[in-house]
Parts: sequence; structure tokens; C-alpha cells
Amino acid sequence: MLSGLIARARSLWKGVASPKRIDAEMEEEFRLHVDLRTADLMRKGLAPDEAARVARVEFGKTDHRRQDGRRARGLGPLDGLRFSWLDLKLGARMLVKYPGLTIVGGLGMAVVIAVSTTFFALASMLYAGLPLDEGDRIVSIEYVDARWREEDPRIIHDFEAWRSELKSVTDLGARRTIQRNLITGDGRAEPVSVAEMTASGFRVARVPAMLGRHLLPSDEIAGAPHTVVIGFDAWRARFGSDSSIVGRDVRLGGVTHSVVGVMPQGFGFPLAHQYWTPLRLDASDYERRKGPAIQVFGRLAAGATLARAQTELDVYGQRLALDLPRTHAELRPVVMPYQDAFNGSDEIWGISLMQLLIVLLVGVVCTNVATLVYARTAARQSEIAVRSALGASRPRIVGHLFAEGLVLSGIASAVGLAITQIALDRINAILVSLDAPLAFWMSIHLSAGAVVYAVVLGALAAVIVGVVPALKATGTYVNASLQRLSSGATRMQLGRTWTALIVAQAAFAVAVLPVAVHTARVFIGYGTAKPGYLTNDFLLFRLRMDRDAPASAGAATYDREFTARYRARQADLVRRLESEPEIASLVHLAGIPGVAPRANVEVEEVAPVVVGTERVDVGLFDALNVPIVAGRMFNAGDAGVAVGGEWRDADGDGFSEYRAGDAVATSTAVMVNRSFVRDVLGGANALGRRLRYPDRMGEGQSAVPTMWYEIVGVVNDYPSEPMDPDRPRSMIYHPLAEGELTEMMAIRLRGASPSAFGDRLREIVATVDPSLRVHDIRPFDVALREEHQAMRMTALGIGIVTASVLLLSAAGIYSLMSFTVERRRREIGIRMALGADRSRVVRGIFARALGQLAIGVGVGIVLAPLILRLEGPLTAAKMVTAVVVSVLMLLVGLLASIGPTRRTLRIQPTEALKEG
Amino acid sequence: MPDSAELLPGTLDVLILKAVSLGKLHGYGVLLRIEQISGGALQIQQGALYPALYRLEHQGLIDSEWGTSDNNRKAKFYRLTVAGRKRLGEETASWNRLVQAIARSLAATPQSI
Repeated sequence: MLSGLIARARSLWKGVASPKRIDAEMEEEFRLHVDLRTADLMRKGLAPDEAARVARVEFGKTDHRRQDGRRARGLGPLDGLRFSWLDLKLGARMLVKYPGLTIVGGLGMAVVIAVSTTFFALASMLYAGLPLDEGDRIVSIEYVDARWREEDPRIIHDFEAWRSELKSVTDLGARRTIQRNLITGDGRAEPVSVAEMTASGFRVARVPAMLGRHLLPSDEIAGAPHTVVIGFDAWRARFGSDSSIVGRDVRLGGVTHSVVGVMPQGFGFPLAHQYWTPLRLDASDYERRKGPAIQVFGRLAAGATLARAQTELDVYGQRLALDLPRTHAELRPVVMPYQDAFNGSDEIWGISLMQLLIVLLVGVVCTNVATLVYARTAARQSEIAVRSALGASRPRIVGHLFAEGLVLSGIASAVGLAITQIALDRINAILVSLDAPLAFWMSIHLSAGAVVYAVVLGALAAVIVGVVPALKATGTYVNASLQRLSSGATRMQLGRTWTALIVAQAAFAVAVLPVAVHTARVFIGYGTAKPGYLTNDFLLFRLRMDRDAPASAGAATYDREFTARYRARQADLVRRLESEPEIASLVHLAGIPGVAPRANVEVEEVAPVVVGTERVDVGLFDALNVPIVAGRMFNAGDAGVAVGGEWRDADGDGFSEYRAGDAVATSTAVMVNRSFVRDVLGGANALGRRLRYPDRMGEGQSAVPTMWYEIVGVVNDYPSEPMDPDRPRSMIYHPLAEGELTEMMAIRLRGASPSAFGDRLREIVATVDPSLRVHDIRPFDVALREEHQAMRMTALGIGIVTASVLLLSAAGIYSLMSFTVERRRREIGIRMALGADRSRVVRGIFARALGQLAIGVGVGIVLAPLILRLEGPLTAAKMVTAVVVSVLMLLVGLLASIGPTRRTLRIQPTEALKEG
Repeated sequence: MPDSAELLPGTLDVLILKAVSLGKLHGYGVLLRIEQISGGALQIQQGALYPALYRLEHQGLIDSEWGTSDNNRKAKFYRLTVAGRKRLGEETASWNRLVQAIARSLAATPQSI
């Protein structure tokens, strides 16, 4: 039984893998047979010529024998499906002959193949392996809080314990990332990310330095000279590929470091770093679960597995949970492949699901194209019938139609890959402009895997658009069709399938398209929104100050001193900037406008609502020319004085966040925007209305809970649209208190170009204090554009996909409807010949055609609100979209029926009868 | 000339198996061997021979290899596989049972009922 199956599989494989060899062998065998038979016949007395002739006649045609032979080897069905260059050429000719189908179908498939392949290329980047020696044995170790399944990275004590205890992970190392100004000899200051890393990190990576050496354990000792290792890209860009760099001094913030080595190109361990300094943290300085956040990594010891390392860590975790229940009861140490610490393994499910949905979208689009192809195939019924009569088998005809589908999907795949390439280039450009380098093991490019993926999708598409309609068209009715061919009429018997197709097509269009059109509209609206206020002359930047990782005992003092220093330095800088002749004005910003936090608010005489709330510089609206609609602007008297606010690094990541102190509200004035008046107050007068927050606003906000605030003015929406649909539209503005610091500032320039002023700004800041860093210097309009970048890309993607599906659905309904009417030509002709009333006939045609369409639209309309509701509450705009799409589909159907109806009505009765 | 007999449907396969069980043969050789062992009674349709050979090979009942024929020509030789030998045994037994049953039936007289 099994040996039989194996023999069959082997024989089939031989036939598929080397079909020419099989044919040649059969030829050889047949020749020998005929020759031997000829010789036998000659021995029986026949003349040579006669003997050869008889032998050939007895054997029969070798072509037939060969075909019989292939069938006996089980290759018959494959022979039918085989297609030649001629088929492909004919397929290409069909594309030219039906340009509408080619453009609509090809474009639709190209777009979805591009979307799917782009997603695949981006998703597969997450699964890339580490390009390091035995990279799969490098691991990350994290502490996860079992209550909220979140990582707790403040594990300096545990790191030291693991370093001495763990047997299954060696070369244990740790790092944290800090930001410092890199100040070179020419006085240029530029903020850079520096990996403070244990020397063991380089041993884990097993990459030797290109110049000099990498960090050594001796560099980690407190009091040792400060050293830095730099990466290849930084060496090239900042140090002009200076080969004598080793031994030179550079300053990182306020500290001078000696360059000891340069790492080779492509090295970015632990993430995407270009500067490395030794990690000099002493666990005894910190309380448990306090101090700086670190990432811990190492290499699996020889022979150890991930499971064994996890077991060892479990034992450690259980012991600590018992010994230190206050801090460690809920903590679980977890070891994982290195990259998983960055990828988030729980995202993999989401990504896979998304990929599946996108493949389904490809299926939906291809089904639409298949409908178009089906209608065309139906129109070619007579051609198929004739070919069948001339001896073409069903597999042969299906193979031919598959070749046509393959040409179309092949072109679509090629165009799709070109679009993917453009999209990936664009994404890379965005990452460069955002100064957000990818992890060193990742890269965004059109990989061989992605090309294979697109080709497979193309083949799948060819099967759907080529084979499915072909199987349907070459089904049971070819013979019937052939019979009717003799009488001049060739009509496919469509019946229920046809009706089902029209109903399904219309239902799909009306049910699913409104949500797509609506989403596309929303995204395009946000992605292309103009700010609605002055941005061109402004330069935006963030000001940060270097922080150390203070010991737990002195942390409170450190934060106080840090805040005082930051305040003093910022005041110095503001004075310095205001004295610059090129600077017209300076305002503080709590963040990029349009990205406001939400808050619950109670407005007098109105039910509680959720709106956005933001603190703004009292001079902001004036400076930006945001028009006031009612009441007055904030003035200096509204500002009040901040008391007790502090900059702290609450999560140990090296960044300070502002924490408001006990809020002392000296002013109750707030402003609101137009949307607030319209949506919350229903358009009523806002001035003098009072509002309050039932609870504290977010971190860094200092409105007093339960205190009443009074609306003193209304401004235009600022910006005209929030940054994305999730952001609130209705806004409440509080004045920033005097002395309250924000990281972000905007300066309005007089005459100077914002993009050219950046270097001058860095220079000014560096002279105020080398530990002050300027980040994200961008002209205001560029900053807004960048914030919108992702939104615009998404809008573009959704817009293109929606437009293609809409176009395909319309084309599908058009071809189905026009073919339905065309089919009834003869019947209508006869009715006209028998003197039927013209208008009644027309009504009849439309009633039947539109009846089918109406059922589909009806089903769709029932489903549409359900699907629309999945995306969010049902709004009037959504319903309008649904109605517009339904009407559009009905109109398309109607339009499709007009042409064939007119042609049918013009038909001469004699012609109609002849068709019968 | 001996009396010729019609080949019963389905019996060509078993005859081929028998022919190659007596020694490896090329296609034409199979034809001659069947004629020979049937005493010239069975004439094989030349058109039916090769599909049957390929079918049996496809099923793994016979195996083939290229070699040289008596007159020094390149030829493909067929021989029985283990599965083929087993099948030949089964078919032969089944055939004998059928022949005996039919012979008995045909030998029946009114007295023997």
C-alpha cells in the first residue's frame, strides 16, 4: 500500500520534474519496437520497405502512444493544465483587447499586492535574527510585574546578583541610554544618545574594534579615566574618518572623555548606538526597585538552553519573593531571545492577524476581478465551445484561461512590487527625517522573501481570476452551448449563480465600502489639515538638561537642586535669546499643539464630558495669530505663580518629567475653543460660564480639582484639526504659571530663515551651559508636517485601497448588469416583434435587472450600520456616506443597463428570431 | 497456426507481470514472450502494450532500467518488483479459481444437477 503510494509519487515527480526526458525515452523505446518488428517481418519474407510500413501501421501513431503513455503515468491532468508561451502571448493580447478590465482589475490587484507586501516586509523585519556570532544564543533578562504584566527595569541589585549566581547565562551585561551634548574641539554641540554599558556587552557581541579597543572591565572602576568608544557612522560623520582619533579627547556634556576605539560599520549593539561609555553604577547607592532603568543581557553558556536558564531564574525569583516580599512578591524574572525585549512577543499575534486580514483583502479584490473576468468569459462562450469541439479538453481550456489570469496578475505583481519599493523608500526617508534609527539588526528593504511573497500572492490571484471563472465557464453547459452555436445563439445558462453574484457584489459594496470610505475620508481630513495659524516664521525646539542617576538617599535633594538649576539656566537662556536681534518673540509650549491630554470636566448646567486640556503660555495665541472669537485673551495677570513644581526622573529612564507641586491657583481664568462652544455648550454663550474638574488632571497639569474656573475667552480651533482622530476636538486652555517650565519652546524669527537658525541656537545654548541640550530643532510647520506624516501615509494607503475596491465593485456591478440585460436580447426582440409596448418592455428589463441589484443593496443596507458601528458610534456623516455609496452602486447598475437596453430595442424582429 | 483467443479485459496486466517474472525484457520482448508462452494463442494489441507497461511501472509493480539489447541497441528493460511478484501470485490464484468455477459450470450436465 505504502510502497505503491511512494512509487506513484516518484513516477509523478519524474514526469513533472523532467517532462522532456520522459518523452525522449518513450520515443527511443517506440523506435526500437518498430525496428525490431520490422526485422521480424523481414525474416518472414517481407521486403524492407513493406516491412517497415507494416510495422509502423501496426504500432500506430507515436504521438498517440506517447499521450497514452503520459496518461498511464498519471500525467494526464497536468498535461491539460500545461500552457505555452503562445498561451501567455494570447493572454497578453486579451489584456490589450479589454483595456477597461486590464486597467481596473490590474490596478486593483497591484494596489492590494503592494499593501500586503509592504506590510509583510515591515512585519518580517521584526523577526530578523541578530547579525552577530551565534546571535541566537544572546538573551535579554527582564523583571516582569505579574500584576500588570509590565517590565520593571530598575533592577540594578538583581543584575549584580545574577552576574555572580547565574550558571546558564554568561558574560552578563547591562546598559542604559543617556543623552549628552557631544562637544568637539570646534565648539559644536550636538545631543547624542550614549550607551552606558558594561564592558561585557562587547564580549557578548563578539565584535572587535576597528580602531583601538572596545571597553574593558578596568574602565568600569570608579575613578578610572573617562573613556568613550565611537561607532563607524559617527566616526565618519562627526570626526571626518580621522584614523588618528584614538587617544583624542571629546566632551560629553560637562565631562571630557578619551576616545579609546572605533567600532566597525553596522555595529550598533545594544540597539542603534554610536557612542559607548562604561556603566559605573553601584547597586549599594540605590534602594531596591529604585535608581536607573537598565537592560540586562548575556549569552547562554555552552550547552545551556533558554528553558534551563528560565528554570534557574525561576528559582532565584521564588527565593527573592520570599526574602523580600515587599518589593519582589509580584516580580518574575523572564529570559528571552535578545530581540524579544524590543519586539514585544504579544504583538506577534496582532501582526499575524493583520497579515491574514490583508491577505483576505487580496482575496476580496481578486474575487471582484474574477467577476469581471467571468463576465468576459461568458461573452466568449462561443469561442470556448468551438475550441472544445476542435478537441481541446476542459483542462486545456482552463489552462489557457489560467494563462490569461497569470499574465494579468503577473503584471499586477510587478507593479505592486514597484509600489512597495516606493513605499519602503518613503518609510526609510521618514525615519531619517525623524532621526529615529532602526535597531542595528533591522532594515527596511524589499527582501527576497518579500518578492517571493508577492509572487505567491500573484499566483494565488491568477488562480482566483483565471481558474475559478474558467471552471465555471467550461462546466456542464459547453455541449449545450455548442448545440446552440449551430443555430447562431450562444448564451450561458447563468440563472442562480448570476443572481447570487449580483446580490453578493452589491451587498458587499453597500455593507463594507461605507466604512472604508468613511475611514479614508477621516484620515485624509486629518492628514491634510492646515494648522490655521502662523507657523512659517517659528522655530520649535526642546530644551533638556543632563541628569545623573542620584543615589536613593540623596534623590530628593538632587531633584530640588536640579529643578532650581534648570529654572535658572532656562531663565538665562530666555534672557539671552530675547536679546538676540533676530528673535522677535519667544513662547513656551506644553507640547505639540493638537496632541492634548484628555480630562473629565463638569461645566455648569451641562452633563460631564471628556475634553482636551492644555496649559498655554499667556502670549501664545497672540504670538501665533490665533484669532479670538469672543471675550478676551489671557493676560499677565491670569498667569499666577507656580509653587513647588519639580522635575524628576520618576521611572529611572534618564528623562525628567515635570511634576506639579501642590497646585495653588491664583487665577481662575480659562479659555476654550470654538469646538468646545459648539459641541459642549451647544453654541450658547461661553463667556462667564464656569467649569471644574472632578479629579486631578494628568501628570504635569496643575488645575485644582473641584475648583470652579471661569471662561474668559474663546479662540478659533488651534490647530484647525487635532493631530489624529483619537484626540479630543473640544479644548480648555489654562495659562502656564509664571516660573512653570516647559521643555518645548517656539521662537519667532525676524528676517532669518528658521531652518538656518538652528546652528546659531545650539551655539547660544552651549555658551549658557554645556549640560543644556537642544533637541528636535525644527521649523514649526515642519514639526506639524512630521507629526502628520504617519497620518498622511495611512490616509494615502487607505484612500488608494478604498478607491480601488470602490472602482472594482462599480466595475463588477456594471459588467454583471450589462451582461444580464444583454442575455435577454432575443426574448426582448421577439416581444418587440410581437408588438409589445416599448415602455413596458423597458420597464420589464429594468425591473428585473434592478430587482436583483436592489436585493443586494437592501442586504448591504441592513449590514452597513452594523459594520459602521464597529468603527465607532454611528454619526450622521457615516449614514450619509452609506447612502451615497448605495446610490452610487444603484446608479452604476442603472447606467450599465442603459447601453444594452438601447441596443436591444433597436434590434430588428427578424434578427431576433434568427438568434433563436 | 494454433487457434487464437481474444484477450479478456483486464488480463493484459497479469500477462505482462508473468512475462517479466520469467526474466527481464524490453517492450517488444514482452510482446514476443506472451505470444510464446501462450503458444501463439494470444496476440497483444501493440497500442495497448506500452500504456500497460507504464501503468504497472507507475504502480510500482514493475521496475525498469536502460541496457543493451541482443542487437546492440539501447533498450529499456522491465523486471518484476517484490510488490509485482506478490500481485502476480494473487492474480494467478484468483484466475485459477475463476477458471475452475467456469469450467465446472460449463461441464454441468442435467444429471449432475
